[in-house]
Amino acid sequence: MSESTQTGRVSVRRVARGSKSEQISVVFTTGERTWLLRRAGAAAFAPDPDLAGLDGRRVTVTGYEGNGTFLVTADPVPDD
Amino acid sequence: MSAPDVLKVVLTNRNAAKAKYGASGWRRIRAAVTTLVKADAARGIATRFFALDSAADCRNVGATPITEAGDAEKVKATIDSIFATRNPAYLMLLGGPELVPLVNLANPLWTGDPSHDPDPTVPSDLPYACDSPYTLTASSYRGPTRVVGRLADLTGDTDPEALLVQLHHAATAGSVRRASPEPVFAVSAKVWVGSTTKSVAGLPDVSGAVRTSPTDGPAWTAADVAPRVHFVNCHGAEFDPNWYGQVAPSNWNLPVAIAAANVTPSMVPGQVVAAECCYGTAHWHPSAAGGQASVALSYLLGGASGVFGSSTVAYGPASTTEYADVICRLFVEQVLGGASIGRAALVARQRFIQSQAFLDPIDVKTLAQFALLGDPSAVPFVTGAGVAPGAGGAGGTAAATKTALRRALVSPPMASRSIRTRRDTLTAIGEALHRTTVSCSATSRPRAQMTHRSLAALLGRTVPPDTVIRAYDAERAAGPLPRGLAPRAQVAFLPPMAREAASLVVVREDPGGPPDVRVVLRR
Repeated sequence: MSESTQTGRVSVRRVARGSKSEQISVVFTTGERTWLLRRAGAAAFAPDPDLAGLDGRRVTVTGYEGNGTFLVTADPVPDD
Repeated sequence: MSAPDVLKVVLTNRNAAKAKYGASGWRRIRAAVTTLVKADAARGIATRFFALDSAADCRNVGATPITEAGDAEKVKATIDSIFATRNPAYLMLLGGPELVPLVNLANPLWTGDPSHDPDPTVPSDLPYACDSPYTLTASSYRGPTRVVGRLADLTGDTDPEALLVQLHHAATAGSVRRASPEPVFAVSAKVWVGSTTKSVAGLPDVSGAVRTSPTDGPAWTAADVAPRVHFVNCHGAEFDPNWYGQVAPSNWNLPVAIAAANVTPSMVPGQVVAAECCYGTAHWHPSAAGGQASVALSYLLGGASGVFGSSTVAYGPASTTEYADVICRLFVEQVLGGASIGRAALVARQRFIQSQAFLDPIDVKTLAQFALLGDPSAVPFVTGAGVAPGAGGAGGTAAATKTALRRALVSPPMASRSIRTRRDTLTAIGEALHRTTVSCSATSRPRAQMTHRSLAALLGRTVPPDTVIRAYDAERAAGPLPRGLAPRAQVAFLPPMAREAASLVVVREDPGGPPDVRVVLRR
């Protein structure tokens, strides 16, 4: 398994919006697949404001393709 | 020449291993396999190496050589041929998915939105443990009959050392006499301590308090981790070399409970781990985590004989026990009873199926995702001819625990014809389960069979109007049940509310009985 580069769109899913329990998932969708997006070294369970800031953007990311998570090893490059 | 009573097959893809490790690396691995073969022979086990890409090996079982290492369908067909012609008591897959692929089964809980369940597929060794035909439908594998384990290497790492270390451990493994009570190292996220306590209480004749994170860990002492059985009910994540605790459902600042970096060589000699954690046995490149291998692989490199864990997101309730809790407890129960870890995994799968009136979609995912890493013929405990002296005493006093932990290693039990007899029984059970088990279909109905109001009434909490409720009909392998007799499961992912975490709700409806409502959380 080596690093790969993928281009797709970032979307933020908010559940329980506005509540104390609001949770944010950053989702990355290519034409082929959908992953949760996470940066290498970042906490796996906490929201990542930097990635969430890419909501709606089309980006190119480099990193590891997991089963449910795409682990980003370099800053995502906006592509739109 | 008659077939040996107890046959173990060590199976890999030679060309894939040579491509990954080079010719010299492969020679070292092959030599280590030969050492294991000799060690097994001394235990009465006839171990045979099988190369999936060898024309000669494949011809012997009526199969065709594999030309693409990742072709799981052909690997499954070859394994089926091996069992049809040789019927080994143990199958050891040698290497991770780069050498022997997992089967990427469709996840029945996948909705297309990874914020629900993030796994479109469930990478699984379950199909290799079943003699049913190859398919990517997870619920089709409902009758496991085979003892299978995987000695995994490090994904993406071209140094064969990880495989060599584990082969050495497998060749030199000893057993201990089962103590009464047997000390267990149990670690739980604090939010799930009720569930973990029930799981551990369900184990026969064990001692040891459940340690909770926070505030226990991750700097465990050698004495803490000395018990031969580790039972872990914590959070885990893909590409993450830690398992985590949690203080409260809405607090996602998770403390590390077990850090792979703290599991050092020789720290856990012979230990066997049941881990409920999400992605507990997932395979990923250590460079994704700064060069650190996963907790499971770190355990195995540190001398553990096996890790039973999940390839993907696993589920269980906070204060009762279902799904991941149950299959892990069943596995440990068998290990404590003197089973090989491979047999423990098979029996855990079978009993998990038997314990349900029908399999709902979470059962199906649980069954597919849990697998054994380790030599399946390893036997952690010897039982029968007397328990460890001086370790007796209900509840496990400190002195008894100390005595139990000082036990000397003994030789693993000699394999005998009784293993063959046991396998025949387990095969018959698996075949019967395949025929009779009722399991939810792979896909949900186009329309829910339950309203938001009725789900809210069952749960006693609000169900947001945008919540999607999915209905799954259950059927036998042979086809649908008569109308009115088919159980059904309704599944919904609920967002976090007030002080409750996001959860997955399953309403199990068996005709004639009241609905069984289960609320479960990601481990």
